[in-house]
Amino acid sequence: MLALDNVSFDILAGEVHALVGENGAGKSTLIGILAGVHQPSVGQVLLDQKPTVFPDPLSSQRAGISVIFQEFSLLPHLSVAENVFIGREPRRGLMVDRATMNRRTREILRTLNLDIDSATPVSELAVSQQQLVEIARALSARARVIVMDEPTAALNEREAVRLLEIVRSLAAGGVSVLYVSHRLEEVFSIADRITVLRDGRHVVTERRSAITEQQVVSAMVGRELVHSTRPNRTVGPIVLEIRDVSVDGGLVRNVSFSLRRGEVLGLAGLMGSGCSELMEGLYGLREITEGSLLLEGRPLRTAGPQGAIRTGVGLVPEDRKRQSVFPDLSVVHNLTIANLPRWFRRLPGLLDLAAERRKTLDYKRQLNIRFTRPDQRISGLSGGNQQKVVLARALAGNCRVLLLAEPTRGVDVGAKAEIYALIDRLVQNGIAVVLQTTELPELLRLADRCIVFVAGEPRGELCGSQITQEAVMALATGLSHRVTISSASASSIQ
Amino acid sequence: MNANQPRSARVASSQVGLMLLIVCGAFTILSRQFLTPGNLLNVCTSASVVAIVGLGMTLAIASGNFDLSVGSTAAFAGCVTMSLVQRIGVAPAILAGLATGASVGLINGLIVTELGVPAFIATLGMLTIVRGAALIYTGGRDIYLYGQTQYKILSSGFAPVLLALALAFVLWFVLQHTRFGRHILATGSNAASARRVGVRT
Repeated sequence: MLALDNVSFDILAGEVHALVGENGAGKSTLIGILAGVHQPSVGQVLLDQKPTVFPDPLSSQRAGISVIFQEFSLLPHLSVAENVFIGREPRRGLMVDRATMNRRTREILRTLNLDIDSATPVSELAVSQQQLVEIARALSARARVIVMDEPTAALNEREAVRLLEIVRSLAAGGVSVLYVSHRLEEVFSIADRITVLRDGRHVVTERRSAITEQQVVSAMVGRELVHSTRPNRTVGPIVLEIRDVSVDGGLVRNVSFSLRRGEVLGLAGLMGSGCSELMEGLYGLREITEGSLLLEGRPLRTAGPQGAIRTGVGLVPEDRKRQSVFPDLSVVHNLTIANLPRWFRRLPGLLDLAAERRKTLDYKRQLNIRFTRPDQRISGLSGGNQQKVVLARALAGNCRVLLLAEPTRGVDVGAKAEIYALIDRLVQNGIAVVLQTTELPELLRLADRCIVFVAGEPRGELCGSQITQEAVMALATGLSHRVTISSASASSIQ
Repeated sequence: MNANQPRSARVASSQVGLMLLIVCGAFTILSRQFLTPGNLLNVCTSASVVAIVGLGMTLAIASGNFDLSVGSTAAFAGCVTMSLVQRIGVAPAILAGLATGASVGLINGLIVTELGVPAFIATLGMLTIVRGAALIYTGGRDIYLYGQTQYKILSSGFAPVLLALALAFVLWFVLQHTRFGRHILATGSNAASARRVGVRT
């Protein structure tokens, strides 16, 4: 099978060249060829007009190509300097010249505006800092081409902005950057040219100014995506009521809201605003230290996720890889794990495997999940399909309140649209959703109301057409004064 | 063979099978005694001890942990059983041996989960401790059994092989068919995810 078929494009010196495409479009294979991990069966890579082959990763690095994979290749127990110079340590005689290594690392870190000690073990750094260490490594190797695979996937908005600045300054310094990303907004803010791959084929390469976001999306999915909007929803009675809640002794404070059946409540805010902590509090992962939680009028048990699941609260965690998927378990096992007692036979404690399988196939149909067999490992599924399995897992209990944290992170455009449509359908069927997202378009697309948090406290509430990117950002960054707007417009309440 | 296993895992297990065939083939050519029912049973009998200990280890590894002390523990439990067979009878002695092994396992588990000591270090320490305990317990002397045909029947020939097979089935059943087993597999695969689906990790 061909993962890549007849793809040609060029990257100029000092250019930021964006490579986009859905999962399975062939981006990873292409990166693999540049990194010396895969070999092209036909065709060649020309570096400075000269045909070059990379039989292994080392030869690609020697040629001046640095690939920063999504999964970092840092060694967590070694220091920043050791990671930056790994394999290329400056030596004095037989010994590693630590002084020189640390000095040169500090110089590079300074150009990246990264204020960390070069002797710190990498495991003690934040993800965003680790990424900059990867970039530092590329710079120390005097890379002429830096390939970045989804570099902002693990970053928050502020860190992402900073990374983009760094990418720009790298390009200004003559380095070529091949920037692989799902996030079109980013791609359009940074790329000089954009190349779209689809099903292993080269669709188009175009200057940024000569192509629109809509055209790129169509090129990626091969059809015009209907730009869907938030449907008008009819909401029912109150399901979840929260009064004066504080989480973990003040990490989040003074939160009150009520959530109705068939409604999507958005929680928005910059990183550190407390939204994710509030979500974890609602799910019993953090302690509710003050206030009360009522689910359908009864106190919600918050002692651990078991209690939350049993009372009808489901969670789709924010980090799929780290917090929700069991990579080496099957699709069925991943789907039923949160609600195993539902598949008990009458004989106490024994699971009905056939029933589990039926339920999985049921959800496969309902949520349009693509996999070949229920006992297939989940790690073989695309990000979007894994996320659908996680969604099915949250729904498989008697779920009345669904907590969605960054539900489409790391999911391609096609699957994203599908997941939005799915959420619409669930909400229409009476599920109440709390949505935590840092993607403003997602908030606008899904939320009927939204509470904006700043430093652990609700700063204001917006509803319906008041939710605009500008209004949310104004509240989140503290530009706008405290506003409180009536909880819902009259027309949308039954 | 599961077609969805990573290729490396499939290759590895097929290589193990191939190696076994080559080794058996070589021994068959080298010795006329190898491919005889008596010898094969002998091989199976001695392998069954390793297999049974390995099953316990499988459970630990499935949960994402590790136990280096299983060898010493098996030896110590064996010493306890053997020394008691003469005095208190076969069944109570076996129970005493099992209790010994279970206690060591429990202590290991508590050290790892409650004190937060990495399993590798905790069980490496336990390896030495239990080995020492066995030495003190036996005074370094061999234990001889006189009579005790019941015990000898249980510990030789087909019995241990059947026991290993039965235990393998039980382990598979527990991992696949019970909530406990699924929770163990989930914890081993991703502990952070496991907490979020209500597993008490």
